Parts: sequence; structure tokens; C-alpha cells
Amino acid sequence: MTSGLGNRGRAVVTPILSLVNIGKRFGGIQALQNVSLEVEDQEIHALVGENGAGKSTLIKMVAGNLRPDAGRILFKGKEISWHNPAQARAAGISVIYQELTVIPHMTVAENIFLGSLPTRGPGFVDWPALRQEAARTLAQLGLTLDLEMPAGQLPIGLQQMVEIAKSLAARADLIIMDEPTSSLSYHEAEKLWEVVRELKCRGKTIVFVTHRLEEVFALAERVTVLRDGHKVDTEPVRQLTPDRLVNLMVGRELHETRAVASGAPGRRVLEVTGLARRGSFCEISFVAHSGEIVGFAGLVGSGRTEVVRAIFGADRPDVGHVMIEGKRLEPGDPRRAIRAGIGFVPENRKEQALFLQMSVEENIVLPGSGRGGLRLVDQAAELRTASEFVNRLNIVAASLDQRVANLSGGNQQKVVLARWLAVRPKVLIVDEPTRGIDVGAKAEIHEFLRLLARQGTAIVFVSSELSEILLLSDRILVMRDGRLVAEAAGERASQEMVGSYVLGL
Amino acid sequence: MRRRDPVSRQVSRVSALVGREWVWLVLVAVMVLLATTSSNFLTTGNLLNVLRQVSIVGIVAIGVVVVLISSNFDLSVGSILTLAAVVSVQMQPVDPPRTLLAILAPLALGCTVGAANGLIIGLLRANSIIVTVGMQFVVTGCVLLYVAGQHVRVDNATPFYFAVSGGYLFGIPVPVYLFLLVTTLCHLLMTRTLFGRYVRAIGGNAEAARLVGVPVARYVLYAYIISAAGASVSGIILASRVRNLDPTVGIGYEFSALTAVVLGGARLSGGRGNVLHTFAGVLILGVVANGMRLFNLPFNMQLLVQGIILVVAVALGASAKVDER
Repeated sequence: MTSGLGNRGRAVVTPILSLVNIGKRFGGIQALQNVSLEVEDQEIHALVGENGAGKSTLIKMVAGNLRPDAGRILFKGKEISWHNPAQARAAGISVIYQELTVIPHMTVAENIFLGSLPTRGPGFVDWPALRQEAARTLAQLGLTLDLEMPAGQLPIGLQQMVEIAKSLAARADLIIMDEPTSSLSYHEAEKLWEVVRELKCRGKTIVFVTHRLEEVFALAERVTVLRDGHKVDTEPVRQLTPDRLVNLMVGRELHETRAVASGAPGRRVLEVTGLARRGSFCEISFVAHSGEIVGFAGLVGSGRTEVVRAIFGADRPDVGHVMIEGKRLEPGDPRRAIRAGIGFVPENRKEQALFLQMSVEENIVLPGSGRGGLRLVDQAAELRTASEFVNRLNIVAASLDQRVANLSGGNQQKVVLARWLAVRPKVLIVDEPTRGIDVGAKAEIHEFLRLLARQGTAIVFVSSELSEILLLSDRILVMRDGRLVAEAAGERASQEMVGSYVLGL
Repeated sequence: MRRRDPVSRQVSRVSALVGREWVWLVLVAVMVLLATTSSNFLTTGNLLNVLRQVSIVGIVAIGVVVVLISSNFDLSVGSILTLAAVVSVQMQPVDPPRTLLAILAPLALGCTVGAANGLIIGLLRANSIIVTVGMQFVVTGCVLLYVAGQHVRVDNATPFYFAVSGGYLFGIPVPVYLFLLVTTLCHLLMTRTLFGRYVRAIGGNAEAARLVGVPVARYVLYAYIISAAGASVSGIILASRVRNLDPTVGIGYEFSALTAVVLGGARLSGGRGNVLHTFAGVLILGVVANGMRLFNLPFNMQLLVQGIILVVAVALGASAKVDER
């Protein structure tokens, strides 16, 4: 360790942030125990771990949202004890949460200087100065945006840039990002990485939480792994391999390989012909066979989500039709789709799939015909169904009565899957099966989708992670700008090949 | 490491129970307070009187909570109650066939208004507060036109018609049976049938409900019809009791009902609410009003107190929600 004196004139490296023996309990749950961690000045530091490992708790303490029960936090060498986030902000810590906090109806410039608008005279906003300062801040990030545009109209990737500009404007020295790229396309994520490196060059320190391992290797200099509230290790990324990192996170070997192709394709289950919806996609035709896993690759905004929603009937297509086992499906009606044997796991589980106030059990048994409202609930049968699928999918919940809101993201996603398995669909459509889910649960979900396919279900899924597409798909369909541009057999596809179709190179 | 020890589990179970059922504790607390301060409170006669008096607003409240669970408001119930009461009296229940008509016609009309609410809100996804407030004006306006703004009355009503509000069975007033019946039916509907689950699902997350195949518009329609039917039944009971009606008699019932519902801990954003808790909320309001009468506090003060109860209940509910996070 560095001693108090400089070593041959070199400056003493004091960590900008030190956590010493931090502990935190919530009721009966020990969220963090004896965690010590040092973040060096001007480094890019990744914080990884499975859901529930304690990453968020740790961040909230540094941000002043929570106070530790035990241990000390030192920022710039001084011990701190913050009571609210404003104090942390004033000291130079800025946190960018997963749910972005731009104010949608205010302009980009206003958002950047929110809370510290330049003024002139007795409290009047100095608009020219505001615009100038905002443009200057964005230029530091290598960005030019329409400053007068309402921030809500920007794509999510650029909203994130506005958030980063906000931290610059607030003169933060330490910027903490919670899963910054979880809802970004690959392209946007790369742009974000560039900006983060730029921040480092400007003397900022960055700590980010992520579930994307590729991101750790692309961006971070050091990585800290948390597991079950304990720190497992902090290591320079250079000395790590992906397998080793997963091992540290999960505490066991976890090695996913492509499954052997399921053999002869089964009968045609799903046939989509000439499907189109104005402004979203056109001329979509493809077939999925029983037992087959079809993956939709493409950039965010290329129309994949819109296509699968239209197949299920969540949105009504303008033209074209969908056939299930040769029978034509009435468009735009999820109930008929369900009755015909389609299950649908939408992109955003909290907003489109889960009933957060309801129990695990009710969430699982909910899909039905929607008929027979006066029929009594068969409690015994539902209990059997729910517990069967909770076991089969290895859902970790205190009980079947636990509210879904209190589950981790991975377990919530498993609940949504369980719901459809319980109705034995012929076709299961899954939009982003593992977004924001830790590696352990991810592997389990992949395994389960494979198992389901082996049992004869046709699976159609959308993913923004190329590695996931390559790992799971028997057949890959690539979309670009609302059209199907390529099709490839899963075992013959490579990252480069699919990637170039995705980008249109 | 992340397991809970048995003691804290027990504690959290008890506190969860208290957290769920606190409305009953409040009721008991208010009753104990009144029983120790007034010798007239804890008598069978007085308690039955309280029950009889809360039946009308109680039945309205049970309907309102069903709609609220679907994440919608029904502020038209007061006007539906007026409509039902006025129409019932206007049917002049002086002989058996007219008595039947004086019960069926207001029910049918009330449910029609409820269906209109439900269709507009369910199919068009219009804001339920605005729609039902508008409907309140429409219905009140129609009633005033119908009776030319005058009181309506019925003399020589049949004994059966009297009995709807004034009858006793085994010493218990008929409206109390009706209140208990409506409460029981709606509680079973909400807890034991698919209807209840679908309504809760819609209130919790309407888009997710649609995507698991729940016909959202249809169940919203049903909820509004139930609420309107409750208001109509209350209107008929009221007509049977008063028989000389001011055509603005129902004004304010929607807020009394809503107060009871909020006291019962229903979430204003839908998805969660409990018919039995609403029942308890109704009883609290009734007991408080009764207590104020026992202490000869002026009637006009009741409005003030009810307003305070509503605001405090909502504020407590909101702070509980903050804690949930």
C-alpha cells in the first residue's frame, strides 16, 4: 500500500472513494456485510453481481439515500455522513439511475442546468447564457443536440447523454451509473462507452453497475464483484477472463454452449404472411416450426418488437395475416391469439406484463379465456399449477403469496414465463427474454426456453444481445428499418455476419 | 445469510396483519372510546340504529369500491341514487304491481346510467373522474327536468314498500339485511370468482391485463353496473323511508361513500381494495356520526368531521405507500 509519503516524487494515490467495513440490514435481511472497497481517482470501476447482491444498496449509500449501519465512507479523504442526496450532490457525487430522471416537457438545455439555471437580475433566467453553457457542456461530451427540443422526445440513448451532461454541469467528480446501457441498443451503448472514456479524460471518476459482461471488458479498468452482500473481489479487468468473472459472480461454474440442433424441423405452427403496419414494418413473412427457436436480431427501433406485438395481436397490423397450424388468426385481438395457442412475454415486464400488487400465484394463473367471470376460482388447482411452475422454473420467492413487486428482476421474468407455460402454448413469443437479468437467472431462462422447444413449442424471440441470439436460435431473422433483410441458420451464423446485416454494412 | 430468524418473521407476520386489518382496530378504538364516555352508546337499540342509518351510504360505498379496484372513480353514484329515489316515488307504489314497478324501474334506469359510464370509460378509455362528474350533471339535470324542480311524494304506499326501509326481521331492520347481503355478495365476487381477479388485474395494470386476455372494457362495464345497481338500491331504500323527496337528495353521497372506501384502505390508483374493509370504513363513519349526535354536537359539524376523516385517511394511505418503497 502507498505510504503517507510520496514515492520518488510521484503523487500519493489516494482513493477518491473508500468504503470501510460497510454493513446494512433491512429488517431480518443482511443486505451488506463488511464490504470494503476503494475507487481510485479517475478510474472507470465496474460493480457487478447477481440481482440482490447488494449493488444498489451500496450505490444508495454513496448517493446519500441510505445510511450504513456499520462502517465508514470516505470521499476525497474525508469521512462523510450524509443525510440526504443533496449533500452528496453538493460534495461532487452524481448518480444516474436506471430509470432516467429527465423532465420530458422541459428542453434539453433546461434539463442540463436544472436546479442551477443561470440567472440575471432578480431571479430571471438568463436564457442566452443557459443555451451557451448547455452547448458547451454537450460539446465536452462530443455531442450536439437540439437544445430547444423537449428532452422527452429524444431517444432513450440521448436522454442518457442529457443525464451525463447534467452531472458535468453539476461539476461532479464521481459519476455513478446504474446499468447505463440496459435499455440501449448496441450502437447507443458504444456511443455511451466513448462518452464515459471522454469523462475519464476530463478527470472524472466513473463507477458503473452492469449485468453486461462485455461492457465490463470493453470499458472498465477494475471490477468489484459482490455476492450475497459480501465483496468477493476487486481485480484489474486485464487479469480476468469472462469465465473467471462469471465464476466470481455466481460462485459456481456456469458455461453455456449452443445446444445441439433439435433435429428434423417439426410441422409448421406459425405462418406469417405479408404482415405490415404503417410506420413500423412491412412485408414480414416467415414460418416457425414446432420445436424451433427463431431469433429476431436487429437494432432497437428496427421494428422487431412491433412485429411480434402484431403477431400476438397486441397491436393491429394494417395488412397481412397470421396462421396458427393452418388456421387464420383474427388480427389485433390478444384473446383470440391466446385461445389459438400463442403466449406472449412483452418487452417491458413491469409495465406490460406484471401485476405488481398481486401475488406470485395470481400472476401465474391469470391468463385465461376471459370468460366465465362468475365461475369460482379453483383454489386447489391453482395452487398446484403455481407451485409446479415455481419449482420447475426455480423461482425464488418467500411464498406463493408474496407480492411480485418484491421479487428480483430475474424471478419476475420467470413468473411471466411460468404464466405462459401453464397454458401450454403452441407458440411462445418472447421479447427480450433476459433484459436486466443477472447471468445465473439468464442461463436458467435460456435452458428453459430450450426445454420448451424440445417439448414441441415454437419459440420466437427478440433480443438486442447478439450473443443471446447466437446462443439460442435455430434460425436467425435479421430486421433493419422495418424489413426482414436476412435469414441464417443458427449454427452457421457468426457474430460478424449477423452484426453486419444488423447494421446494413 | 439472507434468511430471516423466526422471531423477526413472527413480528413481521403480526405487523403485516395489523397493517392489513387496522381499519377494524380503528373501529374498535372509536367504539371503546364512545362506550366509555356515553352510557347510551353501547345499547342494542343504538347500535341497530347506527347500522340502519349507514345502510344507505354503505351499499353505495360497496359499489364504489368495486369500481375503484378497477382503477376508476364513480362520482355519479349520488345522482344515480337521486334518480332511483325519485323514479321510485313517481311510480306511486300504492298497489302491488306498482310497488314492483317502483323497485324494478329505478334499478333498470340506474343500471342504464352505470352502463353508459362503463361503456364510455371502458371502450373509449376516457378519464373516469371527468366522465362520471359529467354524468352526475346529466342525470341530476334530467331528474330536475322530470320533476320540474319540485318535491315528489307518495301517500298510501303499500306496506311492502314501507318495509323496504322500515321493516324488521327478527328485530333487525330490513336495510341492514340488504347492506349485509350486498357486502357479502360483493366480497365473494371480488375474492372467489374470476370476475374479482380480472377487476383487480385491470386496476393493477390494465395493459398487462389486456395482454393476458382479460376483456378489459367488458369488466370495467360490469364494475360500473354493479356500482350503479348499489346506488339504485340505496335510492329505493331512501325513497321508501322519506316518501317526500327533494330532487337533490343524493348530493354528497359519492363523497361519503368515497370516504368510507378510503378509510377501508383501498388504493386510489386501483388494484387493491377490500369489500370488508370498506364495510368497516362505513361503520366507522356511522359510529362517529352517532357519537356526535349522542354528545349533541350540531349536525353541520358532521360535514366538517367527515371532511377531516377523508383527508387524514388519504394522507395516511399516501404515507403508507411511501413506506412500501
